[in-house]
Amino acid sequence: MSHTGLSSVVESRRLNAALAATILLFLAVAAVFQVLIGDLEWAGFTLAVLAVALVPPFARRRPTAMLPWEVIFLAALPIVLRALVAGETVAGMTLSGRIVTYVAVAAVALLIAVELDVFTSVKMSHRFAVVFVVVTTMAAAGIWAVVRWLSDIILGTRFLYDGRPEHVIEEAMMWDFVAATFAGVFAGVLFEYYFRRRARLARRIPGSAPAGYPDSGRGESPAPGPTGEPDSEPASVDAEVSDR
Amino acid sequence: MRIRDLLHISERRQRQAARGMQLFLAVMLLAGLLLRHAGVIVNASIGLFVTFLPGILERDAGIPMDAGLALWISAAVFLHAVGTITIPGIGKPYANVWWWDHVTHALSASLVAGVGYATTRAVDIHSDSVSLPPRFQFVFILLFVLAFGVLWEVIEFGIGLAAEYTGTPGVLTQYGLRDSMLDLVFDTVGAIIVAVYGSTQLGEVVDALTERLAESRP
Repeated sequence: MSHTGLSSVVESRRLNAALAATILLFLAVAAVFQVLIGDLEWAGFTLAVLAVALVPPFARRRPTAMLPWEVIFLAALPIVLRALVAGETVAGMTLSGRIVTYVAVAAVALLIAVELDVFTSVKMSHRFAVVFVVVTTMAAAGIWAVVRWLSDIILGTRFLYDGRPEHVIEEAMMWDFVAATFAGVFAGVLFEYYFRRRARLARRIPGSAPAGYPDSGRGESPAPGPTGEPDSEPASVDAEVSDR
Repeated sequence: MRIRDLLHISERRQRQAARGMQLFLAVMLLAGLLLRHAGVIVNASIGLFVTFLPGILERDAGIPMDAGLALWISAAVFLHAVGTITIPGIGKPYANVWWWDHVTHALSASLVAGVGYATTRAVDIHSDSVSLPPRFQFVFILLFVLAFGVLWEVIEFGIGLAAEYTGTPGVLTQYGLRDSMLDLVFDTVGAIIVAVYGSTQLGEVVDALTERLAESRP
């Protein structure tokens, strides 16, 4: 496993935390502006990224316990682009805007996967984490569509039925689904590669080791037996850190 | 609770019902070939293939498929195939019977959920590095089915675009926004049913899959 100069630099917890904190500060400012200009859908996403990213430092009560800044950056990318690049703020997004958005959703899914692995009794191998990311990204597009639709027909909001003809609304939604599918698979491949290059995302959260996450080495460990009896071992490994 | 306890029908009757649906799909395929109707041929042949899956899985992969599971699988593809053909006096059930689409979606989504449940449970039992508590398992099945529902919509959309481009009638039809959204809602209903009752229905399948995993990666 070859470590480039850059990766050894960001393995430093303090630098990682500083970079992540910079992104989160930007997100906090962006969220305020989004609320002020009434862009509530995006404000919701921004706040969700913030909340997910702030779980480890609060759970560990240590500001350096931060998730990898590069994954947080990926999650924040559409917000950064919308804030900095003019034209991206138009409601009719381009396909590239959609792809960036759903890659960001995939990044959030990865952050959640790492947190579930570190802070709960859920344990994922890196392969399962990749499947989880792809599934969650695609499901998110479906849930988001249904939630907006239900809100429109029950509460009378105008998320989808905003005056456009119905077939235009539907086609836009279908392109959302297409983007979510491609972005989910793309992110899955990207993360698979990322895990292989430099695994152990959770190493930057103190107390999450000894095995770290996701551990390619664990996959090769001998199976408990030919009958495949349930394993009781992983629960005890981080018994002290699983604060539910 | 198992399907047979719910329906109060004997295993023999269940096998007969599954066999009858299979026969219907075979006739439908023949009719489609005679009439040279691409949509009927595609829907009937895929359906017919799926009805043979339980037998193939049981024989070649050693995964136990009881009569209830076979009927469950056959019923889903049967309802779908019948929904696409025009019945005298009714028309296409998908378009003219209001509950057809919802029931078919809930049923086929429950199949997808069943596959998702059995696979993840087997991986959970087999793998040292994967541990999926029941509450996570429940959420994951819902996500899995919704992701599949989204993929299904993408496939329908893609076929629609291709049909538009080549000027041929589509194999699958999208009936509008409300319909797509209700599809996803009823997919979720099917997933919840499996997430709640799946463990009793699929226990033997999970055991067999776990054994297969243990054999393939000792």
